Amino acid sequence: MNYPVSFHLNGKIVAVQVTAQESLLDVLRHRLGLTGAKEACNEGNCGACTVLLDSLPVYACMVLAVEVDGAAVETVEGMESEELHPLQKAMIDQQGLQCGYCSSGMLVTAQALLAHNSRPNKTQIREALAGNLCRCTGYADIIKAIQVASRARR
Amino acid sequence: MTRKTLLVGKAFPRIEGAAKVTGQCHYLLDIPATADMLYAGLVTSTQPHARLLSIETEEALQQEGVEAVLTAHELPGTLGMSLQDRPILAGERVRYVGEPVAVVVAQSPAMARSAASRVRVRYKDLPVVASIADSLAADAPILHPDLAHYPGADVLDPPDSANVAARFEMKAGDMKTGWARADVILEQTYHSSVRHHAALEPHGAIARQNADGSIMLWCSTSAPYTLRSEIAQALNIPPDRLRVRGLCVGGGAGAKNHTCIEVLVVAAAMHQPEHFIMLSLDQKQEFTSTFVRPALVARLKMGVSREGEITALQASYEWDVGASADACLETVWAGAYTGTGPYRIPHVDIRSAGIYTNHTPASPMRGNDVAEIHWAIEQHIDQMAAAIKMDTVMFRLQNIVKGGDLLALGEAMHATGLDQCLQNVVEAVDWHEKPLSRTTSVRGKGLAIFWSPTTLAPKHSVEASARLDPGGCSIAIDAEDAGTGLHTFVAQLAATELGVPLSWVHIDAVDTASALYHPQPKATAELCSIGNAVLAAVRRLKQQLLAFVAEAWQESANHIDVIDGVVISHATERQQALDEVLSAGIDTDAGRRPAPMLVTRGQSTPSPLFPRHDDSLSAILHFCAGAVAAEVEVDRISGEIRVLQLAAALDVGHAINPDLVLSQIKGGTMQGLGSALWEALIYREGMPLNPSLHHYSIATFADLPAQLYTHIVEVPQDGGPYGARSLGADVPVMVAPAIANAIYNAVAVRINDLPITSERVWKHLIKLTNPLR
Repeated sequence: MNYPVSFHLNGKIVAVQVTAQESLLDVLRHRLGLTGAKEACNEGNCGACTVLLDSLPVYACMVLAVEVDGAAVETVEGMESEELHPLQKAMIDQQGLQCGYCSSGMLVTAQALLAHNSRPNKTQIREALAGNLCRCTGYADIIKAIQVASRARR
Repeated sequence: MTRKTLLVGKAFPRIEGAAKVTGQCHYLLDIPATADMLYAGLVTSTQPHARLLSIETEEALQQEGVEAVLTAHELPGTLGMSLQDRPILAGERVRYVGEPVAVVVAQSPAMARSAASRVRVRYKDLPVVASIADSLAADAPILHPDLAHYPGADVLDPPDSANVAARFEMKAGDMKTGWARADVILEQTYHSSVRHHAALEPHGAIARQNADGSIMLWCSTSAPYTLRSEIAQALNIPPDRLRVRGLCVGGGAGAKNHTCIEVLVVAAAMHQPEHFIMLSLDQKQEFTSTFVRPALVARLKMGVSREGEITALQASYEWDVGASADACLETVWAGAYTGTGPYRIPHVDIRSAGIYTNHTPASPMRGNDVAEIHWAIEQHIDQMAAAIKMDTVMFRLQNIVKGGDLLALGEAMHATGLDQCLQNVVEAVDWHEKPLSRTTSVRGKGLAIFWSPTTLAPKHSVEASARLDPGGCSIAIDAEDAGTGLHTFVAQLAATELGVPLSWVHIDAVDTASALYHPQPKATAELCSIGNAVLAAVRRLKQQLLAFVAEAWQESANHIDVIDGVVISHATERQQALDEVLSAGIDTDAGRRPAPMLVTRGQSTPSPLFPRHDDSLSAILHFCAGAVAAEVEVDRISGEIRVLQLAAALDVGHAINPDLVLSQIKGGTMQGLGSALWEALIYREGMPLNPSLHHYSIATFADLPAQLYTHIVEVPQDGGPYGARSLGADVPVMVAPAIANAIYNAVAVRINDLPITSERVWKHLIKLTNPLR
């Protein structure tokens, strides 16, 4: 059985028919064609699929699509406008990525952090991003990137 | 004459960075589904060792949307580049939990999963070979009774002991003399755990057999050519029929250099022609049905003179290769030839063996697993120094391998900055400053050094091609960049050689149907050989470009160059932007003339350090070397370990891109931290207990030490592109022994088994305080 669900996705209203067992990640990737949020563990362990649900980071693989009816969802695809978001630019410049599979999730989690705390210190960044795993970079340069971006945003 | 703008040795952001931070980089799972796509589901063994009595597929076949179920009956055959010891699908017996037994093909992923769960497999359990010790026991069940008849076994000449897949030895000097000259001899055994590469992107593949019989394969691999050869050989099809396309790779760390499940998807595609077939592994399958990093049992016996000279080393390295040795043979080989650690030792007897067990097949993880060897050697070195009451830094400096030293493998060592690396980390952590301690928590510092070989198949030549057209300069190489920065390094080399800005250079996704000549299907993914091949290709490209310009301008090509993207004549000062030449044509005295598209190829045939002549499994190009220092705090009561600082220095020859090199070192150091303290895929009687990222802990943001210091030393490598060595694989190597040595220096507890859990430390601590327990 299908359920109608509509929500704000990166600022635009979308309406989709979903099944009861579909995750938000499935709907974003397979029904709406937004593959920025990555599919990795599908068990809520790694954070590669993180998106913002009403401004807070969630694992999209752990959220049922029917739950987001009426909510606002933001993905990495919504970060960029005319040019790269300062966080995206800093991630590139500060070597905050290698294979890139965790990057989308890292970026939206960092975006949520900066929305609540415009000048986070290292400890606050570590706590805010502790749910996002990265196998390649060793994290230090991601922290640096977020600090650089927070200064760039004024 | 030529004025090159050097884009080498400078920091640039990685060239694919923008695609990655915007979510536009396409990984396997980002390929959109087609309407007729079919989905594969795996049926895997639930038993570590059992005879397969029957596989009942009727119920699965009756499920809605199920197109086919393939078992070893439909799909016999074995996999293996050097030793064919891995069945495509388990036939008469299963040898590990997670071993593919059948493949279901259905119309949706859910239907495939559901049908896979309805394939009934009946097992008759056999005794489990749960460890190396089990495997070598006199009454051990023999896991591969027909090993001697497997293709490849004749070359490897597996030894007589039944569960030993391969053995390599390295001997030098005379052991009797070595022991006679020793004042102190110490014997010790060290263990490391089975680990998982844990790349975030799971293994997966999409394949399709076209109407003309050709087969396309897209998959997450660093080594498309290797996969093509392995799969073609296993399925008995000509390699040219299979076209493997590279994609953005979400990490691999060594787990994506050989085929595991990709072959099944190709086989399913051949069974269901003209359909796209897709398979993506779930977390448990990723941990159990792909590859793991081998565990090691290392037995060392080392002699040292009172003056501080290491006189002899006898070492046995036994690798748990799991149910198949093929993907791990290089580890066994490298174990023998790097088994002295980076030390000058005159009398050496080293044996390295790959031992079958009922674990998931092993494949190297970052640097042929020399980390495990250094886990043993570097702890042993600290104990030898203590035994003769010598400072560990002095002891290492006295015995460290230097350029020109004759190595036990019979060749002289190339120039190395290993001693500089050691001195650098010693300074970085204020080594001689005694760390502060409180009553309950005690601090200590520890050191480790390492060397790690860059290996390649012997007499192997690597090819690259270069193309110049209005779109810029495109480079094709044989490997995908799984995050190491390989593509950026290659682009910097090409842009420098051609004389154009970095943004002009693009790296093509690998396509095995491209005209690249590729004699040996072994992926290199390593900078040194690929870099040299790219330089050769671009050099030819530039010659052809200059010849074309010279002809158009009626000048000598010797006077013409390309500088910062502008074609310029030093003789007449005539100049024209290269992009205009390529898109609109070159200005000549008789008007504009269109530029041809230029395509060239370049080869590099590396001259290995060892072996120079014979046809071994592998050849060593050079050694990357470095040092790590760690400071830890240990709670005397609970055994809790806090790593306060880590300092790593590496001699990379020449850093083509210092930022990317440092990024590799930082990432590797943190992987090393995880493998030191937490990472272990735990098996109980062959059953994996923690096959998910929830229960298998890798380092997180929370684990970052307060101080993470990284440093590059540059002693150029002869024959490396601009003096560069290959790196990336090597960095985590020495973190674990440095931490172990630091823990010993803090609380006098020596942990010989990885990982160094707080529980293990605590168990030793209570023995110290209460010997009766």
